[in-house]
Amino acid sequence: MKKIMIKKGVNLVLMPTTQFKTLNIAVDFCAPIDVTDLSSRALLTYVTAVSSQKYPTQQAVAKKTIELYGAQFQTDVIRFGQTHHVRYNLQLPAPTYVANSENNNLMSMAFQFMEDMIFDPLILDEHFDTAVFNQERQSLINEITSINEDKKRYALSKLRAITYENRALQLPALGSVEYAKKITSSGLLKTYTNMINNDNINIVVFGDISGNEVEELVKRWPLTNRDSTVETPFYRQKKRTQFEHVVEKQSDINQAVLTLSYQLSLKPNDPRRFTAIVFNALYGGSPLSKLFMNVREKASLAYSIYSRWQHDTGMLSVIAGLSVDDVERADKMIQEELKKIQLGQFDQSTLSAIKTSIINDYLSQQDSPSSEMSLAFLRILTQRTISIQEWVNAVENVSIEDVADLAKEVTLQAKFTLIPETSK
Amino acid sequence: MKIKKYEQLKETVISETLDNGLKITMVPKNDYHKTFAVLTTPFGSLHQHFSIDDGKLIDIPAGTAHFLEHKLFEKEDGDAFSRFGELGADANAFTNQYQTSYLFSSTSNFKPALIHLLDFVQTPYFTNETVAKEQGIIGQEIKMYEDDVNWIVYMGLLQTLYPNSAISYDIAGTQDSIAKITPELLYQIHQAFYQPSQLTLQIVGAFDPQETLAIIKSNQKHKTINSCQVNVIQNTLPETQMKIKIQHFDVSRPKIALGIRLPDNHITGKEATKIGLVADILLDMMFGEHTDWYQKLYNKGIIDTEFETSFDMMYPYQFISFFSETTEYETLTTEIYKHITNYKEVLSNQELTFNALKRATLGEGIQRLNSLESIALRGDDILFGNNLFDKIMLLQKITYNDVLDLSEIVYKNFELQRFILKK
Repeated sequence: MKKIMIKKGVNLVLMPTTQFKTLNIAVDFCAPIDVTDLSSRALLTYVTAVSSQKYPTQQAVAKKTIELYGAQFQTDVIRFGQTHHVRYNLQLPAPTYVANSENNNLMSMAFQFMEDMIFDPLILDEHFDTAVFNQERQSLINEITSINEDKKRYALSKLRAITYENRALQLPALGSVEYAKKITSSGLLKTYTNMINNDNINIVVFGDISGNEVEELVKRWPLTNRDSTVETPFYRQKKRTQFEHVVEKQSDINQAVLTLSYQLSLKPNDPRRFTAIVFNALYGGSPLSKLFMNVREKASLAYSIYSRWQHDTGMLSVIAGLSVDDVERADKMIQEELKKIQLGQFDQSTLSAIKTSIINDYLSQQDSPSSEMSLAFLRILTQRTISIQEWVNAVENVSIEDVADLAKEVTLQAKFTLIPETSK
Repeated sequence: MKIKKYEQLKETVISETLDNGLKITMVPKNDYHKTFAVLTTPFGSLHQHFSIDDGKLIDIPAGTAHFLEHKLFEKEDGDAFSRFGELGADANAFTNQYQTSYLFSSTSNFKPALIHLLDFVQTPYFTNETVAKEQGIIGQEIKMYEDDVNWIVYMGLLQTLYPNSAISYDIAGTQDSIAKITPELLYQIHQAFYQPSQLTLQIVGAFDPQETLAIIKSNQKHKTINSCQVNVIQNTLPETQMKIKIQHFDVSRPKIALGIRLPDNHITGKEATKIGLVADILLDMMFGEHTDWYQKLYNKGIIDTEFETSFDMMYPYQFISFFSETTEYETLTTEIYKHITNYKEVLSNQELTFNALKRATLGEGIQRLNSLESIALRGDDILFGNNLFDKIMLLQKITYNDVLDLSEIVYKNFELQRFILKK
């Protein structure tokens, strides 16, 4: 991994490898999270995915990606702690596997296409093209609305809302329908201009590449200097003084969903983050976990159950899909399993298995370009430079006592339960 | 040991069939960090009846293949799943219409994990008690599917295309059907469909082929498994009865699925794989994002990026389908209908488009080769005996005329079935 500063606040990361049969290019725009432009930035990823000056319709974009050997062009919004990211991804077959006399410049065509889509959008008279804008705003609204259809996603979004104090973290990464409806096509242009001129930009290129060629191609993009100071991406809030509990009834569902949030907040470079990773995998984050083995397998109280720890926001969440009759018992058992970990009531062999499995997952990431690239972005954002071996050693060194001690810091913050209306 | 090299793709496939009939396919990729192994029986939810040797016909209740998959993990001395966990391997299993697969991937302990995979799949343990317990757990799982709108739509379409036939039943079955499952039935199925000659073991990733083959051979040598003759009764295809089915559910926008059955045929092997490839290009030429048809409907807000087409070929069940989420489902139906009626004109003089799409499809195939899981699971290995590399090689031989020929088969006397899910 080689990092090159292209301009102030604009970095290029080169990851040469011949392991894969693709060329991957990703461009990440990073800004502090702001509730007023969450939806606006999300809408940008919709509008600029299907239109630009050179490719004004989705049809034109599709024809171009077909020409680029079935390239996949995707845009995403990602939230990490208190930062918000607009990310452009392009994947195409590695030129060596498809090269012939017609396409010996596939690499430069790919960079040209990214430039056309990102830096030359379909803007006319100080606003985005109205037809595209209206269309894509509606798509965004539909997408935000459809979160409600996946009952687990819905329950988790409700849990977020009662867990976080910062409004920007309460909402989904796409924002809300209310905000989406307020966006205008000229307002969107302001968001775009702001992003292009002020966001920190990181570009990752992954594949069978030569550094000089890629650097030359990126330098053709219209990139400018910007303020390169980055605030910490980690979001922290004080522990809640009052426990929140919300129950919602819905018709037309068969199963209940139980969600819980806990605070487990560690400083960005706290070495106990490895303990937290192990703790989460032991509690509910893996198929070997206490919640999965005991609540689901042994007691049959839930069909699905897992936990997730987010270092970036300091929250641990538990989510279970279950029969409404089992909600109370499952809830009680989820708390009891936490207590047992706090008391160190788990054996060395379970802990070893958990650690082996975490390490397996970590090492497996090296076999996927998208995982490798996500990891690269994460390293840039958190400014961590830990080697694979150091990471593995740190996980291996976590002891029963470490996990039990850390588990004592886990504090219940909120609970959201979704149950079928017809039930008692 | 048979070695096949795919020079263009820089891939090598080593295959071997053991004396007991177990088929092994190995794809070594030594610049990878993990190794992925899958053990598969071509037994899935479509199987409804079978007999062993010359015995009497045995009925298989809906959901049995999936039930057996769950049950195979439970052993007298504990859970086969946790053993993978102890080894740091990531294990899973799945059942679809035509196969049941048991798989794991690992970056260490590959050998013990591989032996464990073979041992747990080949050592059945079913009792009245464990079967009864599982009936409860799967009951919950079925309920969960009932809350999944996309699944409801998919099953709804199959019900209108193939009413009351094997494919129209949920892979997990129903509470009633799984209640009929007994340990005896599971043992009979295991004897028939899990005998070595029915199984295929695929290994992809970082491993030594010679050494791995030796391990498998020695593992199989220690097992005495009697082989038997299995007779499977082919499913008969039902007539379609209704052209539209509407179901009500609390969805924010109506969801619609449309389907067209292909005329009944007995195509299999390379020919079947080829049809699948041609069909994908045909659908793309007719309805892809790059077409005027798509763009017109997209601009009118009749479809959005959720619009999808697909071609499925599961033995006798062959159909193309369309999925969308739209309030304008009547208009969409009319537009699809009109466009298909007009297929000759839409497809004429489209050789350039065909060439571009063929190239793009090739590029997509190459991108798929990044993933060990795709290499093992996205070919037609089990269905038609062609792996993902064969598919990519075959794709390059497809011609514009192949597309025109298939369009005649699919669209000439088409009948459009619909399923709608709305408030």
